[in-house]
Amino acid sequence: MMTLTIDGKKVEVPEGTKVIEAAQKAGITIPRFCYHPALSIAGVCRLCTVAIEGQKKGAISCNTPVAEGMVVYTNTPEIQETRKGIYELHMANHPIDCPVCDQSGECVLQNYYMQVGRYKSAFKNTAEKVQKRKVVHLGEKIVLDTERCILCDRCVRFCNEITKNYELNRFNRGNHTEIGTFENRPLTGNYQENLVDVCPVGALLSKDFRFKVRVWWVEPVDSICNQCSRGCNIQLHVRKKGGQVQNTVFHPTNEVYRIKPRLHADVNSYWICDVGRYSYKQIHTESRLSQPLKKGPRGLQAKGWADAFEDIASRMRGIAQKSGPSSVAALGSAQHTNEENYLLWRWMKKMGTSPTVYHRAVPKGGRPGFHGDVDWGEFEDNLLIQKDKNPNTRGVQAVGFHKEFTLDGAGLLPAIERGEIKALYCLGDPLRDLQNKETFLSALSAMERLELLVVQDAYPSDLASRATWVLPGVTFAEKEGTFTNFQGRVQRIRKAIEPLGEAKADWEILSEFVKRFEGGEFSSAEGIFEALAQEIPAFHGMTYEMIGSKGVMLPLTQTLSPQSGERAKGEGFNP
Amino acid sequence: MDFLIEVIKVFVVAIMLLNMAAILTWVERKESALVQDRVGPNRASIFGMSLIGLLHPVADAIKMIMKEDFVPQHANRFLFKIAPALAVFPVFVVFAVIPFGDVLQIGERVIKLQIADLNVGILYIFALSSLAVYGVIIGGWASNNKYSLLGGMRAASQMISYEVCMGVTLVGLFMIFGTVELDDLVRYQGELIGGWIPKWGILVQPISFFLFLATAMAENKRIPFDLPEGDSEIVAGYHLEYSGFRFGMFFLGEYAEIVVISALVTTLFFGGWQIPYLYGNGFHFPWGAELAIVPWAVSLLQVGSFSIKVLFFCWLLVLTRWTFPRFRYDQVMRMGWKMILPLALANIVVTGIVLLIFN
Amino acid sequence: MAIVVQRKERLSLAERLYIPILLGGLVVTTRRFFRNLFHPENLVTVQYPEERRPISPQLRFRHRLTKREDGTPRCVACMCCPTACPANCIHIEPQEHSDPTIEKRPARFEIDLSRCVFCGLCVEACPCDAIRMDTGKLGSPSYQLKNMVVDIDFLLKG
Repeated sequence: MMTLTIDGKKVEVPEGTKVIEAAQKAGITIPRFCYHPALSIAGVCRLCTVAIEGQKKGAISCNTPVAEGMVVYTNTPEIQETRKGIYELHMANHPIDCPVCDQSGECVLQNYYMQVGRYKSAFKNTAEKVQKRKVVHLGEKIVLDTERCILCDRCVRFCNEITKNYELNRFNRGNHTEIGTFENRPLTGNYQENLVDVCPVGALLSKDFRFKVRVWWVEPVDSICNQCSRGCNIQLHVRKKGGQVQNTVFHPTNEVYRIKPRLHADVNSYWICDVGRYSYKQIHTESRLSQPLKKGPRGLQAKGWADAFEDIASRMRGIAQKSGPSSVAALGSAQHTNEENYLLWRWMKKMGTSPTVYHRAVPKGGRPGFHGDVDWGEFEDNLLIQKDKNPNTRGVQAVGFHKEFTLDGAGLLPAIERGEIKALYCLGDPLRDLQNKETFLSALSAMERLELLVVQDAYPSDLASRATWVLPGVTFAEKEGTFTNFQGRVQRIRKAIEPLGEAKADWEILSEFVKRFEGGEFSSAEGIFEALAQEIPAFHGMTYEMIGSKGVMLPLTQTLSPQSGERAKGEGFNP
Repeated sequence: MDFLIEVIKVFVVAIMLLNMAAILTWVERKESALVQDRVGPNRASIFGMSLIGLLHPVADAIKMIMKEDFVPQHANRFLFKIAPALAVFPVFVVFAVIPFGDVLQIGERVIKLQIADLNVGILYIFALSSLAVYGVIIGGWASNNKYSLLGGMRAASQMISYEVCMGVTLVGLFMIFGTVELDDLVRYQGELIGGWIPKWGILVQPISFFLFLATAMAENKRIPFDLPEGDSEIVAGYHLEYSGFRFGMFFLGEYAEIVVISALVTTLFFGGWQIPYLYGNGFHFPWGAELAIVPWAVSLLQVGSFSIKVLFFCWLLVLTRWTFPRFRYDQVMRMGWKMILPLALANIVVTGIVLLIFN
Repeated sequence: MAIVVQRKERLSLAERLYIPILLGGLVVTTRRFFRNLFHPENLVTVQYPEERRPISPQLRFRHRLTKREDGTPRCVACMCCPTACPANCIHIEPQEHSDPTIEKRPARFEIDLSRCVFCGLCVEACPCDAIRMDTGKLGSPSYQLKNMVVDIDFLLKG
């Protein structure tokens, strides 16, 4: 350990730490462009220059290792002047087109200009600036503006070190240096959008988000990605109802506009895959269930919630009384939260049966933004994407559903065929992603034998269209809850927008049934989690407070140290 | 022949009164505009001639006739419909006893320039103008609207209070002239005090004049006594629910009443049709000069004199409206009962004593 | 700050008599009446549709969008004006511009004049001098609210 003084504050850091990191620990943010905690040191931007006692010249803090007894000043008048000089050089060829630029509002160059730049420009007119290529399409996801680039090299290092596809590099020399791909080939891979996050300026922009909405109109809501069992920490950027600018007709509220990664050192670091990033599109698709539907003589008909609760509860009771509680079954879901699976389990317990089967989604084909030689359902890589594409497989197992619904439905389908099971409550659609067409059809016809089939899902499906009742649930952006990732880490998702139409959060629907079967009343996901933590051994002692932004491991063996990935609020997305 | 003459007189007076009322609406608008530095109505026109806004009353009349005659739900239809007539009728019949000239001699025939010379005269006026309150109260009650009802209630209390004062204020005048017959009243006012000063009511009973003017305005329900309508408080009071020509009748009645009040004030206090020093055959000035005028010209001058006086008071009443603010309800009541009534009573006593001493 | 009116405890006799005060009031209105009757040139009324008062050039009129030399709107759909707008009456849908140096242009640009408060903040916020309030035209009355939402063609015409 070494002790050094930064701006009069004493800090103790391990040997080999860079001054910029030590300063961060002391609570001092040194301005930087090229430094990124997850990437190697490039030392090209020179903005992090600090004064070190005993040295005549300033030193770049990102590449200066600490030394015992070092005395560092980060904000002396000379350093301020130096920074202004460096800033002017950075801005020499940077166009002042902030209003048009989509990065504006979360641009590091913009922010630091207001904090430490503010130089008096020596350039007489903007025509002296070097003109470079403006809108360069790098594949289907990224667009490059070489004029806005300040050549910090972060993107080059990301490609070299994180994805290791070496796609980006510098071209030309001096004033005419540009970032680009060889022969302008399109970028590939499932992590391209991270380049946008890494880029401190508006040089690399997401085509998906470009021109869509200004960043100051969206507000972040912390959540967890539901696209695979990695459970990447994300932020949903939404325009909430009652938000800042309400009435811009072309930018509707109650909508998720994009997904950005949230730092978690032990799960996803600073990154997320493009599939997770584009998953918000599933929230606002055309085909969503928005009303309770009941099977009638002319197909499914819209009904009210009160009808649905009353009818399902009384039919369940009737079947359980007539044919015994074992004729009632329920199907847990690895796509749903711990709370919801627990409520379903608790309800079934009250009815006198114990559910054991859960289902997992095994998606076929591709996903928006997915590049791979196999189906998304089979795909995995050694960076983030897990083979299991369900966010809560560990969770549903921990709650008590330990048999997976496979080709024969873990014995469920034969039991239905035999008429032993007369009522089935499905959380989600277990048949949606069945690979084999024949098994799919036989499973469907088996399901048709049921006296009562309830499907609770956010999307319509073949199974839902055969159900007695279809209850509209919601997507992960419209409800509270917890997911347990493949490591066994319980992490929170949060409600970002209001449910679509008459749809209700899934835990709300289930808690209504639990209430009707005298299993207790729950008015919030947090309340359900408390009951879950009491009843299910694996979750003992957990609370939402404990989960916080970092999650809790399952079983409760360790809580993570706070600094592993703690991020200062309001720092933007570029660390 | 006599009957024919009477009918002609009735028609002439009624039509004059109606036209006066219509023109007064124009006068009211123009005068208020001038008082407030505005131009006033000037848009209604025929063939591009707007005649300084004189066509607005015509436009108004057409509008009122064309408008829907709306009867509110749950209103008493019968009472609602007859109320405006009840309000307008007394105003018009009151004018029957007001002399607008002395006599007109055409050949042998002497025509009195008055429709009916009743010996009860002023009492008839009081009797009928008391009836006017029925129209207002019934209109207010039958509308099935709380504002209308409030307006009707206010009108009732206000009109009853001021009815009393109105009668009492004039008693002094009757004591001096010794008659309630209007024609006689006017004739007595032709006399001269000391050979120089005409014995007009205002000179012998000045207090009575002011009190009567105030009570008459209150009877007319106009600002500053417009509590029954009180737009800022109860929207439009008793005629809130009226539309079309039924509203027009209330409206017309109000302006006809201005004319009637002006005529009454003229008759009682300003010598009616009298012109000082003008007698049946010409002017006889106190300093001895004389000016002979043919009798028909004298009659004409007298009618002109009456008309000018009436017009002046119409103007004054309109001006009053655009000068004063509205009284508060309690102020109206206090003034009626605690100021005007005692003053009027005192006036009677003083007049009585003075008469005792001098006679 | 409220103005405290100091009232005399008791009214003077002249005031209590009402009549002198009332006559004073009548004198005022009468004087006005006759002055205006004989000198109508003093009247302040403006006969509106025929006669118009001169308007200050500084007044904020209905908006217009300025054009480039080639006639396309200067607007780059930067959303600064809807951000600044306190009435939330400006709606812009951006689009890619064919010229990469301009990058953005409005596909749709609508102002809801029925909501606009004519504060001029949009003009101040505009970095491109694309929106101005100098048409010299006031308001745009309509029988239907939806007709008061004006589109980009209307705004470009000015």
